[in-house]
Amino acid sequence: MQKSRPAAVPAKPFPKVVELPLPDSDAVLVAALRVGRVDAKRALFDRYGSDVERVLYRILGPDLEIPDLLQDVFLAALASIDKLRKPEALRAWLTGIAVRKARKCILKRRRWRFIRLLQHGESPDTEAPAAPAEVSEALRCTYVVLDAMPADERLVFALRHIDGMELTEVASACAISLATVKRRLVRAQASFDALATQQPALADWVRARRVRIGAES
Amino acid sequence: MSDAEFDRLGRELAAEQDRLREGGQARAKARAEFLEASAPRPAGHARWLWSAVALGFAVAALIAFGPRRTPPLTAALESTGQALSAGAFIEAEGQVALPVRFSDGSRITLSPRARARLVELDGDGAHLLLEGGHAQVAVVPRAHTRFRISAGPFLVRVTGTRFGVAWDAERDRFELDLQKGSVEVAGCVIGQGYAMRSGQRVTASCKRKQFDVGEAGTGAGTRTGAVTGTGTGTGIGTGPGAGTGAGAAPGAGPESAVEVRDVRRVRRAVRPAPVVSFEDACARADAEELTELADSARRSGDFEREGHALRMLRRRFAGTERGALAAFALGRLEFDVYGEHRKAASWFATYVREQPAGALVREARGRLVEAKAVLGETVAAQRLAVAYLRDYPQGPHAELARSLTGEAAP
Repeated sequence: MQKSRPAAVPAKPFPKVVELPLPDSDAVLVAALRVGRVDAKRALFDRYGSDVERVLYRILGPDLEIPDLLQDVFLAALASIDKLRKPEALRAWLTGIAVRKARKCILKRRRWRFIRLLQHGESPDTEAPAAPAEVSEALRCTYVVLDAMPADERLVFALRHIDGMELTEVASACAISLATVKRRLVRAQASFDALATQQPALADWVRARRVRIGAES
Repeated sequence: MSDAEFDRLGRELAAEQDRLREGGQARAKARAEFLEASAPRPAGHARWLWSAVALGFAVAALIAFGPRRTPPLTAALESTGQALSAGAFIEAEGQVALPVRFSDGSRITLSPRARARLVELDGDGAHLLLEGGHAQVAVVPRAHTRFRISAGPFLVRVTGTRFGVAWDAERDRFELDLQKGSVEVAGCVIGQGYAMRSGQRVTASCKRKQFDVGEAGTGAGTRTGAVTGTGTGTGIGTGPGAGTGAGAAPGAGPESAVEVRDVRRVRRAVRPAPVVSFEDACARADAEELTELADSARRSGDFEREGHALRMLRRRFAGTERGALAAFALGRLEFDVYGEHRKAASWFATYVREQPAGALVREARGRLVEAKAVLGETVAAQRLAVAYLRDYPQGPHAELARSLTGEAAP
């Protein structure tokens, strides 16, 4: 007599923890980051990566170091997330970090442009990488002009005129007063006007206004 | 430009940047690296790793900062004894010079109205940033003396000398008179470093790409070998002041200073060289050098020489990108300087024909519209304006084009 094998008993499903997706609220996201929730980091980047990248582009132009700077901004945000006093201002806070990182990058490149090869013959790789070939001449020339401007004037000019921020937003992003923004912007516009005449692709933007005035008179 | 015009340019640039961003991989790359860099590490591995790192730092600190290391110098205002720490800002107000004394006996004296910042103090010396004005520097030579003076974009490395250094940010002018000892100066036009000898004076400007070497204290403009360089070492004089060796014309002013055409070649070129005429230089130059000669002439307001260099570029390198750019530049020269609108139109049309997808084709087409309008060739101007607006509705000449076609702004 053959023994019948007992029927296989279906295994009981093991209980598993399913994390609910993070809601859109920045306050919840910040709380999740503070407790170290793994998907919170992904959510942070996915939610604000484009905004931060945009700010870096506006200040630096099409720069091959942007991926590294973008990463730096989010790593810095993670490291100091406990210091964020207003979680609902997460976007503005990240913008401020991006502006500081970009400013530091500009200043570092300027210092090493003039000091290199005096430190034991080493030449640090901190030159601004060349812009991709497909950018227009106007875009390339704009950042040549911005490179020649003081860093703080460049920041307010780029955030105001290229990113289209309101003056109060510029002040917040740069952590300066509204009065200082206005002062720097006036200087930046004067510098840009003067420097742009040396760039063929930009000179016509400056000239076009004078041509129209001449035509009207 | 008005605020509205800045905003219009900014919107166009932002739109182009956003197209580049969407088509690029920067964000994806940053995301992947961020998630990897911020991923938690296994606890046991982390403990072992961080212990090893901490031990390594401790050893390095012992080596770097152990008992053998020389303590940093101290600095103080000589007049009052007030101690100065790294980061201190010093300004010589009024008509009184301000000496700063260092603990090794070295001294830096700020002339009246000079401003400086003490950036760093270490065992071998100090780093002073001269923000403006003149400073007299006297450094005591020791085995490892290392004082650095930054003046604008220039850096002076000092090992035991006496010299005066000045920086004028408004005029973008750097000047150093070396009275005793030796220093090395570096920065933009000077390149990697130029070792000065006692009795020399160096003046330099980044914006004017100018670097002159002369005799200290014998008046402005005396030259012992102010030259520019090409790969072959040919020097180029732009005025009667350029000279060689003892034959330099005394009293030649800054307006006769020789202009550096290629800052990368300065070090090889800083030696007396025979003077050649601008025309000869153009005849021997390659396309890149001709472009630089034209740019130099334009910056110094010498439009005749600019035109000469550009026409030489056209004659010898037509059909190349530089040759086409020369056509564009000749168009601007004829239009802006000489008012020869017909010649200008011809040059702009040449550029468009030779470089239909070139970097400046939008500008060339806009200028062509303008030139035709000024010449009264209304039908041609309107036809060109329609085509311009089709391709560049927000371009710098869009408003002019709309005024010719009667098209309303979007």
